[in-house]
Amino acid sequence: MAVDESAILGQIDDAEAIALCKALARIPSFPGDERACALELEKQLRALDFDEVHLQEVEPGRPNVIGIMKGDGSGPTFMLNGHLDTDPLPADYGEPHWEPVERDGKIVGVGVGNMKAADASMVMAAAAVKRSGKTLRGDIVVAGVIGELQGGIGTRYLLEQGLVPDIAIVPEPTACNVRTIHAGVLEALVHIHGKTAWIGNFDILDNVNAIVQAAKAVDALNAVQFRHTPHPGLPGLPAIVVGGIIGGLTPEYMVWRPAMVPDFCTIEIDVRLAPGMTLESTVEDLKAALDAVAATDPDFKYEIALPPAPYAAPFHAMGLFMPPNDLAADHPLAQSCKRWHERLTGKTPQVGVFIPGSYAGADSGHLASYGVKCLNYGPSGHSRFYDECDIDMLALSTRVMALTAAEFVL
Amino acid sequence: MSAAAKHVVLDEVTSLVCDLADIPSFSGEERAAAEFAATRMKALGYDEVFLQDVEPGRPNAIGIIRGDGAGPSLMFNGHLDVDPIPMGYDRPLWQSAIEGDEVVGVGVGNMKGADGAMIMAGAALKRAGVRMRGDLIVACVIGELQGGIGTVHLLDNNPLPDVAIVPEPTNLQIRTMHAGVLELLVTVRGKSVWIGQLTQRKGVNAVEKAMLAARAIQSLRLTHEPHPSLPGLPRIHVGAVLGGLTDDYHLWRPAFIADCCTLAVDVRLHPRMTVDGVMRDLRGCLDAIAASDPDFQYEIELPPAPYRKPWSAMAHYMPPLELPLDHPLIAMTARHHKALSGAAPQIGMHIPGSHAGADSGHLFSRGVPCFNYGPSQHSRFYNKVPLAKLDLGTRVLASVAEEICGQTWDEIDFDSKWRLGAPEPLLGKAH
Repeated sequence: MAVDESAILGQIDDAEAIALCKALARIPSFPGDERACALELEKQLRALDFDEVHLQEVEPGRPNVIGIMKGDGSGPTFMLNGHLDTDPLPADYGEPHWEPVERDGKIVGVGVGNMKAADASMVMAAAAVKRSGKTLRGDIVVAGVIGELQGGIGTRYLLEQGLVPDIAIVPEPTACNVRTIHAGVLEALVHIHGKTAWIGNFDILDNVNAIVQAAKAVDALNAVQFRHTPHPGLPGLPAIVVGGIIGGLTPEYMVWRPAMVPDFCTIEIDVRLAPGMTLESTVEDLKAALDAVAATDPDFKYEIALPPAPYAAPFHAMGLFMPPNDLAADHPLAQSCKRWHERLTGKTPQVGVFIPGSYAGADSGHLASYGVKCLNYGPSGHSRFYDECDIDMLALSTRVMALTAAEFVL
Repeated sequence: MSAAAKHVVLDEVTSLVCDLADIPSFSGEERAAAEFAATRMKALGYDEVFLQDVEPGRPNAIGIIRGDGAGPSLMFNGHLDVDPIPMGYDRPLWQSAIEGDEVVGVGVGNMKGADGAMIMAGAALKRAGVRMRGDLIVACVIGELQGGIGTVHLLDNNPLPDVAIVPEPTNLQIRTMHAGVLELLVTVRGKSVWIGQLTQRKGVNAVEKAMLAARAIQSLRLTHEPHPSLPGLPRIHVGAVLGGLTDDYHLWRPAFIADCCTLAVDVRLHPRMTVDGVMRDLRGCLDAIAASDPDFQYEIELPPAPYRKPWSAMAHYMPPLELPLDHPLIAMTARHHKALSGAAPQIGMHIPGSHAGADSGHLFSRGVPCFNYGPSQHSRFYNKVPLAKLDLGTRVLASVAEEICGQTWDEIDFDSKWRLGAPEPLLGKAH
């Protein structure tokens, strides 16, 4: 059925999206602490007359927020999925301000770029479709999820609970480009074993300094050769970085007794898989690099701990491997999104790879692994602190998401 | 045998050691152990017993057997905090027991066996009815593993004793010298970039740079004139590492290159070295990295910087000890040791014990003649003391206390033979 464009667009007031974005960004919601932000979103969804609003407890005190505009069941279910948790602030960010501001045509505030502006945009897109007055054939499901930065535990949970849509847009930062392809993400731990002795004895007792061994592992990991087929649009894949390290005494990492030779050190790595790479081949390649160290050093002892291990204290990193997404660029979802973008802007968005966004993992990977056809199309760009969104882009993404959703559910 | 030595009953000593060792007392959690020690000293008839809060909830337990002031005072100083339990320790925790000819339990070796010995040595004096001229002060201190915060607090707030014995594990050798201990932090700064932007933005991985620093520190040869008795000093190693995002070391987002990584470094100085010299060497080796790598940026924090979360390492530089071998406290102790055991004790350095710091360094740096003489020896877990050494050690401590505290200044000829000149200030300026 042809979408009545003006009926939908007439229901969009950008001030509402801006206000909602600010309301969400005012509330700190680093991973693990999303509850207050989720409750705010719940309140807002109720105020916007979603047909169903419920909280879905993923972990105690950590709910997803699900809002549904009900269809009559004769059309596909369309999900708009955005995460509520926000990135950590690096050392040079300075003291965070929790009152978002409008500046130079942008909304600026902690977490605005990834992805509270997008969260607001998708909510208002769903509301606009509903307000247009047409009977929905399929449901529009708005999912404000927790723990995306922890591997997408919120989205994985809702999929496991049976909330599997047919189609989805995950409005991660793409600067309003149609991103149909993105990396897989593996966050893993490499444990290095040493053997302790007191410093006063280290020339007498057999000992192995786990931090010295870890330095060898860091070198080997940085040089690992991953088997893959290069993707011309993704020269940065595969990638690996060492993101953290902790070493001291015992697997509890006692760092308060440096007089002892450390006997346990863990390196935290982040690996980005190129399309076509598998978790299995990636882990084999990591092992090969570390085994090469062990071959020359009998004292080099390691083990690789895969998700959910990095999700344990003190890491609180990823609890899941995030699969890649690779939707065909000619899929009707991608084409619909592209067409509406062109119609509203007169310009053609990128469709397919979007740099650097395609180097990210996203909940779209989990959705794809459940057979959901999905892509990323969101208003923010990639900035260093992910704390801003262009207001014009926010307006655009709300319209494009609303019209695209309408095309599938009306 | 001295009068006091006859009043030492081994079963009582072992019972006290086991009771004390069954109270967990890692650094920061010594309160219950201190209260227990105080209660027991009161029950044993000490003239004065008090708890002295070093930090809220962390008291030293001090027991005093008072003299009339006509003679020199002696301090026995033993710490209540115990070493962390490393991997591979498979014995039951906090259930000490006599196994064969040893007392075995967490912390018994360093140094609850010795704590029991010094407390019971004091009790023996009381039971023997020794006429006390100088005070015997039995100090059960907290936080020795944190740089001796208990002893520093004690010495800052109370009169200094005239002499002291710190019965750290020496296997009943008279250990007259030990290392100075400097624990410091080397923090390496990077620049965080998200992994997906590595092809576009330049990042600096603080973990990688810290590994350069770790390797350099591990191979650093500290400048020094060799000490004739302590060829194993100086030494330095990297003891812990923590790196992630921001000064709080966030580990939950490894997709961002780490921008802060800290190494905890432990340095052992021989008694004639200075902290200034160590710092020159350390800066030299790190500056050499920086000279070839403009992205390498570091800073060094000296104590008390390691004494904060998550480090909670040393709050103080622990000065070294080198008591002149002709000090009369040494000969007196050796004489009692020989009289009670039939054999002369070893005197001087002890390997590896002389590679340790101890509260004796704090006492010595304030001019208190002291040494280490304790019943345990170094082992991987510091969890045992031989019964025979415990018995002998307690008797020798009691005998020495009786001889020092039971005589007047003149009788012992304290002023002409026992006093030390104040040692050179070895800490120097840190920067």
